Amino acid sequence: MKHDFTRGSALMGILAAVALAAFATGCAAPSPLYGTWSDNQGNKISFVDELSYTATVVDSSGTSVSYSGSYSVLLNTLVFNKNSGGTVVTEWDIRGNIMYLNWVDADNETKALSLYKTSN
Amino acid sequence: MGSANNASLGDVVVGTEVITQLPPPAQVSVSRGNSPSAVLLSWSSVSGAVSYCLERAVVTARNSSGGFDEPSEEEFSTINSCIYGTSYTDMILSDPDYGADEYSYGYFYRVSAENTREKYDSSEFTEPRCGWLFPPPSAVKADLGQSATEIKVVWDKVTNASWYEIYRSTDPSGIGPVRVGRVAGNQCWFKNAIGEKDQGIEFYYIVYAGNSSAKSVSSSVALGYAIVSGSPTRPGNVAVVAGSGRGDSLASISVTWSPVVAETDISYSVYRTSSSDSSFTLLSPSVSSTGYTDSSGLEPGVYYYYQVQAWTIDPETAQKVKGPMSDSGPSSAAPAEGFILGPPSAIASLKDGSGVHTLRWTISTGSDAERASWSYAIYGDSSEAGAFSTLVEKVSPSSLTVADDGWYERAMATSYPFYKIRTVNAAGLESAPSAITAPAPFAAEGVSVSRHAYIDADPNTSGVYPVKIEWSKPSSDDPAGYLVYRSTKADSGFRQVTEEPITALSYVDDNPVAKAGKRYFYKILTINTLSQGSNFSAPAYGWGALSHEQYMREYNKTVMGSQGKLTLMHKTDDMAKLGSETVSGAISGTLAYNAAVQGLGARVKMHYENYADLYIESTDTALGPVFRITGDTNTTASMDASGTMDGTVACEGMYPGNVYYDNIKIKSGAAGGGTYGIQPEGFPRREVDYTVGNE
Repeated sequence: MKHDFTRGSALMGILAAVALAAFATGCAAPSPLYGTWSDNQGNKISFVDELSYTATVVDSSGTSVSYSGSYSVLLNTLVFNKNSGGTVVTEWDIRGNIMYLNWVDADNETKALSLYKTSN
Repeated sequence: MGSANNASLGDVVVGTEVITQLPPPAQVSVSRGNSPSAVLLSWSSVSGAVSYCLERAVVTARNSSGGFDEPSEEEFSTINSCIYGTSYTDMILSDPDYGADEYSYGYFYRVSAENTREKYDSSEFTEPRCGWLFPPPSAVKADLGQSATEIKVVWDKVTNASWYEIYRSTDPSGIGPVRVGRVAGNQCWFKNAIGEKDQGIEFYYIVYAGNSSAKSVSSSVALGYAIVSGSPTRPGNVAVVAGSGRGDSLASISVTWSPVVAETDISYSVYRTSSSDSSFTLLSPSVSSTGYTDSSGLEPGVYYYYQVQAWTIDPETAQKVKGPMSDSGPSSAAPAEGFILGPPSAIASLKDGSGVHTLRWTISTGSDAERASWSYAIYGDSSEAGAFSTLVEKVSPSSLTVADDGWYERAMATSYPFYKIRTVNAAGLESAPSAITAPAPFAAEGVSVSRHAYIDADPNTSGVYPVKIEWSKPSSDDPAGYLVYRSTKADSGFRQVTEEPITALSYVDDNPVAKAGKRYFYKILTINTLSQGSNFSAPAYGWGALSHEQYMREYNKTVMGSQGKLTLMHKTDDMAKLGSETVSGAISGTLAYNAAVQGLGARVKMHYENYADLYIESTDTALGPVFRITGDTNTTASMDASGTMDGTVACEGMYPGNVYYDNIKIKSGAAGGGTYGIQPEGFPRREVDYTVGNE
């Protein structure tokens, strides 16, 4: 058991180094972000695990397009790292079943988005 | 937080569009007759552009339908490479004058959007748009004694004119003019009523054109007068003396006319106009005979027209009484037209693949019959500054080829670097020499452009070193210089890189907007000592080497892409990361992953074998991959999650070289220090911080 524990810790460090990605450790409680959320335009986002999200966005032609990326959380800051490039840093707050996001975009405009939890 | 704009989820997760090349401005407006001195341009702004590059080509001759033919791409040159606004005033004439040739030119413009700060590729140029200046009225003429009560002034219509203003002066140079009338733009004449006291006075008329945005400069001055009652009659039979005025001399023209019969003594005033200047020049105010020889500043290539005015002294008033001007001007049915013997007015030269020179020329004066009686003496010299005393050939028109454009052509049996031509008339008189011509040199040969080569210079801000372009001089020619052109495409979009001709056979282009992964095409234009050239080399392409840091960034794109395909290493459960798997590159090769327990730690091996994911410029599979990598990136870690990496990866493709992992440190379960050893081919190895490539 001890041997397994030691071996597991070492591997975690090694593999993280190879992948050049940061692994969160020691999280006992599930993140409140987990689950699927929707905005009021029919778009959805699912926080899959502690690293990644997948989203479905309906574009101007009515076609659903899937996007994915990683995210990280520090206190009330949520950082989206889009696989297609670019990062959005936003404040977040969850009250009831609604997640409120507020951020400033590249044009220095303040944006607000409400997401409604649709499934765990 | 203040008021916020409602967003959608798309604003969060949809990636921003990556600009690689800017689009050209959607619209370009070029003024056509809105200014007598400048062409005004404006264009629509381009999102993402910081500045605009403006190029211009000047077309000096109209085509057969009266328009301007669009110039070729090579005829454009940059007039301002960094315009921060979306408008520009191209000042053509700083001191506009009615005689400026520029009024007959067409100016073609094209615009490219640029953003060198973000290192976007410049946009394609817009389609050329033509503009022109607002010219003054031309061919202004006034009555010369046709009436006693009025003087009619006429002129040629000016495109885009909505009105004309007519001024009158008593000074031959038009100084101190007084406005005598204004007419609408659809009327190209004006009748100036003359009272009895103004009869016989010589007036000088000038005309301005105007529209809502501009007023032209003044036209040339036109002499006009109304006759006095009882004035002498018009002199007749004014003509150039046969054998003394049509290519018979280098400096004089003789005219004669019939005497005017009157009861008083008659004298004559002799006036001259020309094909280059319609204003009257008074050659002599008082000639008592019926002939005159003009030797006053005559120029070759110009037709001169002579008009004679008879005058007498009124015995009662002792005033000079002038008669009407003779009907012998340029618009007359029988003009008194003469010219001096001149050389060809335009001359050019060509050279074919076997080195045979062909001279081309045209002459602007003389009738067909007169030209047929002349011959042409072709002189050659080895130096532009030479005496041109060597007569290469003397040819008559019957032995010349006449091209479709009416020019004479002559293939030279003996070649010289420079030529001049003199016209020889039937009496054996030789004209002054023509301008110099020299055939454009052959194209440069063997053009090559360095590829990922080390150049002893600094890389640009994108981490790309300059390229070196080398070529050979044409094997059977000796150009005076070379101009280097660059484009991002093989067949179009070339821009001159060298401001001045260079004489060396190589050039280092420190292209400030060069980017990694992009090819650049080069062509060489050879020019002669007259700075003339028309033969471009075939294009050749190359690319600059990368700085060590940039090399790591570009290399890491392939590495990160390959590791993204692995599944085991991305498992959440650490124990599940153990095992082996192999993934394939999008173009070629494999990445083999193997993670196993080793002692109290573990060892992860990743072996690349000819692995490649990305094509050069992502477009042409024939160009091959940017990186094709073979080698190992291995990690050994102890139980406290610290350790080292080892292995070397050899890179082929656009940027050959090696990447060494033996100085990377693992700390706290992550790459926590050390350096990558980067050694691009031709460069020494240099250590690059472990954070480079993951910014």
